[in-house]
Amino acid sequence: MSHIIGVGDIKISTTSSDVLITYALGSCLGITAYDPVLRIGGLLHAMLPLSNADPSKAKARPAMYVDSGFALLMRELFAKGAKKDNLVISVAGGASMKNLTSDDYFKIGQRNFTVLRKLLWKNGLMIHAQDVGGGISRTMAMHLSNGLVTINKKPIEQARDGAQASAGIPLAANR
Amino acid sequence: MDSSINENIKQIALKAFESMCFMFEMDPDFDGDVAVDTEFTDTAIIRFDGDVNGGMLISGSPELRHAAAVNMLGSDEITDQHMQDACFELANIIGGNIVPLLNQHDGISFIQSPRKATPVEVTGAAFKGFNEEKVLLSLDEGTCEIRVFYI
Amino acid sequence: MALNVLVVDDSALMRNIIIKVLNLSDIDIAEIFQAAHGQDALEVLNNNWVDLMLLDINMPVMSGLELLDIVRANPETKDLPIIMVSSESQEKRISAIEQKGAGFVHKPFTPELLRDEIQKATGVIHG
Repeated sequence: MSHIIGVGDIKISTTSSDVLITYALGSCLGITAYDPVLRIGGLLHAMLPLSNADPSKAKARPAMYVDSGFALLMRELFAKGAKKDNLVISVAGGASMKNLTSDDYFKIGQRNFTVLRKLLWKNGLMIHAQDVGGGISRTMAMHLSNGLVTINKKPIEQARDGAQASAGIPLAANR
Repeated sequence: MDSSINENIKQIALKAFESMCFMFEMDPDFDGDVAVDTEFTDTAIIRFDGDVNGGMLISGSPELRHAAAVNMLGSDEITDQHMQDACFELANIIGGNIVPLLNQHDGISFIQSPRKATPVEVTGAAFKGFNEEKVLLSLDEGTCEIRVFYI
Repeated sequence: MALNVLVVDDSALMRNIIIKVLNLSDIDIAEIFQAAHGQDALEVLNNNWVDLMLLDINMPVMSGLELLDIVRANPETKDLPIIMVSSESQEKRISAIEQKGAGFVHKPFTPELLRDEIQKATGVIHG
């Protein structure tokens, strides 16, 4: 069955018939992690880069922030038996949504992605596939049966419509 | 000061800090206080000669030097040597990318290994009569100053 | 087949970064050798079988470009896969490197970009 993950939310699934979907990733970051051996995975839809901006909010809703949300994603997957060396990580979003509301800071998307990259490097993980940056809204979905990640219904490695990441990183091919 | 060269130096430095150190620029309109320290105790230099001659100096605040080493290595266990190496490597990366901007006659310039700057280099006395560009960066994990002298 | 890899850079910090990327690149590694400049690297190449070399350009004693010429002139190492990893940004120097059959990763790089070049050079196919 399909599960819809809202803004600042996270979902882990161990059911191979599940599809995890999140809509309207603008400057927010969608992060999927999948263990192909156990066929378990999770999807995080984080809104802001750092939880120290509001520790009490971060405690109540850790998935709102990239740093606390990513830590939660890893903890929950490891608790279900996922192995770090098996994890396949995909990332989408982090766009510069200049024309949204006036209080939306246009560099948030880039910051979200930078903070994620720092966490991955520190934890010895690499991005497997990404569709990040530009100025478009993205829908991200992950199929638990085979780990396929789609962006706007196309497999992530083909989802090259959006501009490349701020750091100029090419899209990684699928494993 | 040449405003287009100055802006290019800034963008090159920001890209280096983003890619290798996972740091981003603070913005006064969004982040509030982004004042940059001006009292630096440690300065690395990279010299270049050939089509263009000169040097690039980079000085980081103590927090920035520490965070650069931690982030580049992806480890909290760092030494003073790591902090110095991180600054040297940033000097090497930023300097290597800046030199093509400064080349005068579409020629080639040779870039020397980074090292600690001498007092006459830090004060700028070693570069009398050279053009100077100065860029101050306020990043989320510290601040730094980059000065480029060229002729 | 497990590969022997040689990492040549005068910065110990940069060698550590490259080695971390190598270890996260899904390639089977037998041994990683390190050298701080071209002369050191020649010693390693003379005494060991190396399958891939990651090579900085601006180094003391012997630069990466000098080493590249020596390696390409030696029948035993002329086909060694080499990735130059450097902040060199002058077009003329980069095209000279590419003409000598070496890959090029420009500093600053992201870990993923370097991984992709390593996988390309070692024939690891994503799929």
